[in-house]
Amino acid sequence: MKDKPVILVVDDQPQNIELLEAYLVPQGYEIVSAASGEDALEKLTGNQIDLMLLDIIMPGIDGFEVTRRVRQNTTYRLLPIILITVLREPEARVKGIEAGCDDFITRPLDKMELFARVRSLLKVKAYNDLMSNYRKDLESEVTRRTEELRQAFIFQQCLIDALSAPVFYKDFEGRFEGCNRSFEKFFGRKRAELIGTSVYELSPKELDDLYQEKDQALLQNPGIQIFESVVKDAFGIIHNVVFHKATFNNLDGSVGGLIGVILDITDLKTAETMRKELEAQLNQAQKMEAVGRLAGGVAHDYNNMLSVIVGYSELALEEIAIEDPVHEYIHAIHDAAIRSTDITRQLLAFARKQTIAPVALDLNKTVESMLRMLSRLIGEDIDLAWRPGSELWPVKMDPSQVDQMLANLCVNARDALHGVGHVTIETGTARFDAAYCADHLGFIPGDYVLLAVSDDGCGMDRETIAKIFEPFFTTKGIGQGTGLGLSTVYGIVKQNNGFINVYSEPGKGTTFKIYLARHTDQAVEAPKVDSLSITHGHGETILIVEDEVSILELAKRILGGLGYTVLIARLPSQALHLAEEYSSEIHLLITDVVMPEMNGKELSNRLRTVCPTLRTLFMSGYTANVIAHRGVLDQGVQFMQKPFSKESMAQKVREALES
Amino acid sequence: MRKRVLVVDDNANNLLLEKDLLEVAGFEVFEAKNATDGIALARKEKPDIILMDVRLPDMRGTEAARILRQDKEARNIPIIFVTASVMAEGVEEIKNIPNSGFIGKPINTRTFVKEISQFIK
Repeated sequence: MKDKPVILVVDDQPQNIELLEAYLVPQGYEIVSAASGEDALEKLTGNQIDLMLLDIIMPGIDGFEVTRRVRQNTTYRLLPIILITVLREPEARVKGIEAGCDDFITRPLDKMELFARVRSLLKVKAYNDLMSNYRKDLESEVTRRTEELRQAFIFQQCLIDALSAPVFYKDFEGRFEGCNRSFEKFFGRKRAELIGTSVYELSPKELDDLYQEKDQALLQNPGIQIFESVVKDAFGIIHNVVFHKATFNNLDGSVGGLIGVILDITDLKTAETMRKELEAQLNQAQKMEAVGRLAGGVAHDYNNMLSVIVGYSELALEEIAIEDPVHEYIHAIHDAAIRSTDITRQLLAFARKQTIAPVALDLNKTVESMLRMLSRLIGEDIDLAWRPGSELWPVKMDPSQVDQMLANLCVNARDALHGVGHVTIETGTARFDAAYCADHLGFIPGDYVLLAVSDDGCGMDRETIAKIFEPFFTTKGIGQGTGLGLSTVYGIVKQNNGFINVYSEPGKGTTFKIYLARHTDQAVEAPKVDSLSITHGHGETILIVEDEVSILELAKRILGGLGYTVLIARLPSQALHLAEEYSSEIHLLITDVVMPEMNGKELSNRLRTVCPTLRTLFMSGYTANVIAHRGVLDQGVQFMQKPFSKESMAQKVREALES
Repeated sequence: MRKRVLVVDDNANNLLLEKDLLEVAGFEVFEAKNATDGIALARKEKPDIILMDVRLPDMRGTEAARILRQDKEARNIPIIFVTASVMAEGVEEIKNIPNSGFIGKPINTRTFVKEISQFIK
């Protein structure tokens, strides 16, 4: 900072400069002198001049011209200029003002007037300097704030562009002010087209009004608004979305507008639907399992009772002459018991408690051997088509179960056709991958052999399809169906680790598709069962152990009648005691599987320590884990299903003795 | 079609900010640092809208606008003055120019593009 104001004195007469110097220096001013206009303009730069005292009449450029040039220079635009003149003419003053001077002083100089004018103009200069400094400060502040604004804007835009969800913001009238990149991409709309408009046009037309109403509702009641809806994306695909919207305020606290985020919940919705479907499938499977267990338990007890009825009615029939009217009555009882046996057999099949002897099978051969029987079953008005798949893989299952399934499915197809139509049996192969199985509960990846039975009959609605595998569910009239047919099929498929699918439409027809696991060993032909003939005993000793007395008595009578020596015991302990006491050899043990004290297998093992050559024939209403895994008999185990007839018992006993 | 904007401002910071705001919103931006260049660019590019600073180094923005209004091809381009001079005198000066408007400084970065868009439509 300089300590003295600097005055530039411009005059071509040195004595005039000296005079001014003599006046002004003692007043505390510093003097810079110039002898011409050109000299003055040069001395302006680099001398920090605060005021100019300028003579008008000079050789070269005069005082008016100097004034004009100074005023044109932006740096010295406001420099105070006092013109010194001898002239008193008003024209000179007008010319001076037009050129841009601030004041005049006339010669001869009045010292006090000079001081006053200089002081007053220096004061103006000081104010101008102050103003100019303020302005400079202000300008640099504005520059800084503009940069900050730009920085904040860039950051904000990067921030919302980084979000994967579509984001938008609108003003108080509901007009778009901006959005992020994913919004542009999702809806295929450019910001430039969108900004300033109030319509969404993002959704089916009818929803547009709803969204604008929602906007207005939120703006009237500032806060947060969340709602589920649908929108259409750039490709016309409808998405399930959640709108999350919130109002924002202006600096004065008034509502400025709203910000919205659109969350796509389409995948979530799909997953939820799938989860619900799977849950329903699981519930159904659990229900079937529970019903199956119940049915199995009931069937077991029924089989014991039926054994007694069948057995004794057979014995009674032998005792009574055919002419006797009682023979006919007992025959009716026997027939009814046999039919009941069939029902419990189906129940057991559904409960997967049926004892089976699976073998490797070629399904094509098995089906072919049944075709004649099946076409008789469905009647001649219905066309039965057989479409065997080529190069079928073998499966491992009990051939009698294939018969059971086909018979049940064909009977149902016949009933769906009401007399005329087509039934088609097909075979084929299928392969399920992990992806398919993930969507279909109960399916396991692998190779499968397909057995399909289709009809073009009346079909079923969804509600019926949901129930068809439940035991005792039937659409047929009273007395026409047991409601066990498809339950049996279902049980057999499950017992063989297979899957079953139903496709049906009312009026179009129905297809059942059964998938049986591929068996990797070679297939064998279904063995032909020899027709039974009563085989008698040769005095062999048989020990029968059974806690149900009526069955025990029945077995004793049958086997005694066939020429065997029969020992009976109600409990395993009795049997062991009897075996120790008995002097000669015991050839065969016939035992129930489930008994008090110990199970049949344990008893058999204990007895064999006494009689090493002893053979064992197990009998049961259904198999227990001790002799079979999941209902499948261990190799070499002899087993007799309750209820049994005289013939089947005679046959089984012979087989056991000769094995 | 991208909307095209001409921004005439001698202040580099203002120019950059306005350009950023417009480009993020998807506009194509032309820039000029003085009225003479601005008038030339307006004639050449025929933008959808012109943003004009009032105080320009070579002439006042309003003066440049009057020149453009005489131009056969550029006379219908809306001109928006971006100005801090909200004094009555400044507004009067703008009012006399047809198809024009003004946005006060400092600009609101949130609403700026929307306000510009309103003038185009």
